Amino acid sequence: MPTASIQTDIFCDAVRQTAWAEGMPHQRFVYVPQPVMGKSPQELRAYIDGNDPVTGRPVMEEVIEALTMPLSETERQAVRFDRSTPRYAEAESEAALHQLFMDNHWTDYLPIILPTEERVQEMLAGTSRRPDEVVGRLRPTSTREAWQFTVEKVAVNAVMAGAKPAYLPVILALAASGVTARGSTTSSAASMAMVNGPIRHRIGMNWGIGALGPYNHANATIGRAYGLLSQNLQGGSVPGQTYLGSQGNNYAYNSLTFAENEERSPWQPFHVRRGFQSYDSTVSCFSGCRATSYLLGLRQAHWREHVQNLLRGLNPHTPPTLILDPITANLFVERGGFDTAEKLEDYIWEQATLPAAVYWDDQLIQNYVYPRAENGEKPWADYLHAAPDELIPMYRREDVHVVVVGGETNGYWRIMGCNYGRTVSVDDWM
Amino acid sequence: MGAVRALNPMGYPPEVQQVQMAPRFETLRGKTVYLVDARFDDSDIFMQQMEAWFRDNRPDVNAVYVPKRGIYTQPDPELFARIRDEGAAAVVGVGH
Repeated sequence: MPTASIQTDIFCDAVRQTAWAEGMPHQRFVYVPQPVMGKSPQELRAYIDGNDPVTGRPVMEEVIEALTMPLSETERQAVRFDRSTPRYAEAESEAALHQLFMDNHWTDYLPIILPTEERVQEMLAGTSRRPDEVVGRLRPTSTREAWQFTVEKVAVNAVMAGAKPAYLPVILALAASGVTARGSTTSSAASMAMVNGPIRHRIGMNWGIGALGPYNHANATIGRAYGLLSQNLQGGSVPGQTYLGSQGNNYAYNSLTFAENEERSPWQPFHVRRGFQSYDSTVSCFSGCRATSYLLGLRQAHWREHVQNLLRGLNPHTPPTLILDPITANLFVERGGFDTAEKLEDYIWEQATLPAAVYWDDQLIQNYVYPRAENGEKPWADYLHAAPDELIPMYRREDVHVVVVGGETNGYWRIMGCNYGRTVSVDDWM
Repeated sequence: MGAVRALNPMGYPPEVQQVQMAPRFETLRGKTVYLVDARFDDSDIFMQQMEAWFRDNRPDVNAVYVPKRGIYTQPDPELFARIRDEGAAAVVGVGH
């Protein structure tokens, strides 16, 4: 059926690239100015009455033409979609090769280790898996094509990040998760990775003082490898094309990679609560990391109100993961009687509420939740008939999580708004 | 071959299958054109304004505003079937 597709001009490159990859290289687009959000009906009518900012031609003239203009010779022709990934990248000097990697958007613009054949071979010694074995697929967002990759391709990116071969099983597990650390969302989200089990000790990860900071080789390079492999193995993370984050996100340099402080936690480790054994090694992936709020300790008289204030500071579309220093984890046990992490998660879910009218009016809820509620998806469908002032849960219970990390220099703790993705076995990639 | 060589860090893209474009009409006169609200950031207001434009400028076209069901990334098979059965063309927006 003849179709015209309306886009805002800032996404011109992204939509053309996506249409090409979907087999529609000549799809007829019409562009209007960005933004549409927040504009009045009169302002949007002016967009419609005005010119396409990309072509300079009247918007509605282009819409009518898109539906009525006969297909051109070019549009009728069969297109060859030749593309492949050469095995090697070559240059006349090491400096020129570094420049080539940057020019191709293959780095994070910090210095990399060039992945020579010899270095990649050394990296591959960190796993018993075959270099040509397929690990998985990644994509920048659910509506874009997924690219496939092998063990060797993951090792190439691990070398670039400066990782050691002993870290490779963790990096392979991250790659196998299917959770990208380079999402293309306009919301500038980053990812977070937490390692559990004996592998933490074997590769010398940090779960104590400064665990989420630049103070440990394994934490630093595993996290960096997660970002580099995501952008390269999914087919890119190029601003305006495969990355649309309006502001960007500094968390993305290292993807908030740390190990859980299992030894000082009052609760079962995170991976055990997900069905693994304590002697299993795993990595858990979280996406959508943007917002954090923090607090010091839990005051005896009003800690409940303080926690609720933190929760109200998050947007209702991105659920909370509590990142607790062991001091505060133990305070939650003492003050609230939460002798399991699940009981604390229950409490947090119960406390995170908003008046229904405020909840449904949130732009993210309008975009991502309201249409699902209309389709009858629970629990949201049940909230559609709530009175405007009725308090309704901001999140689904299963999306609320608690982890423990930190070196007990104080009881500071934070809430990360993020989505738990998967916990993947590291042992499977040894 | 260059003097220095490294392995390419990119993954492997999937095959692309071309989707042929539909033939166009000579005119929209008397035809039904669905104006599909993609359900993203006030696109409902935009598409309703486009419906008003058709009323004002092309009353000979039966332009019908319709919001798709589900979030903007999800297909709406029921609506798409209706448009296929009852419509002649579609305008989809706003992607942004």
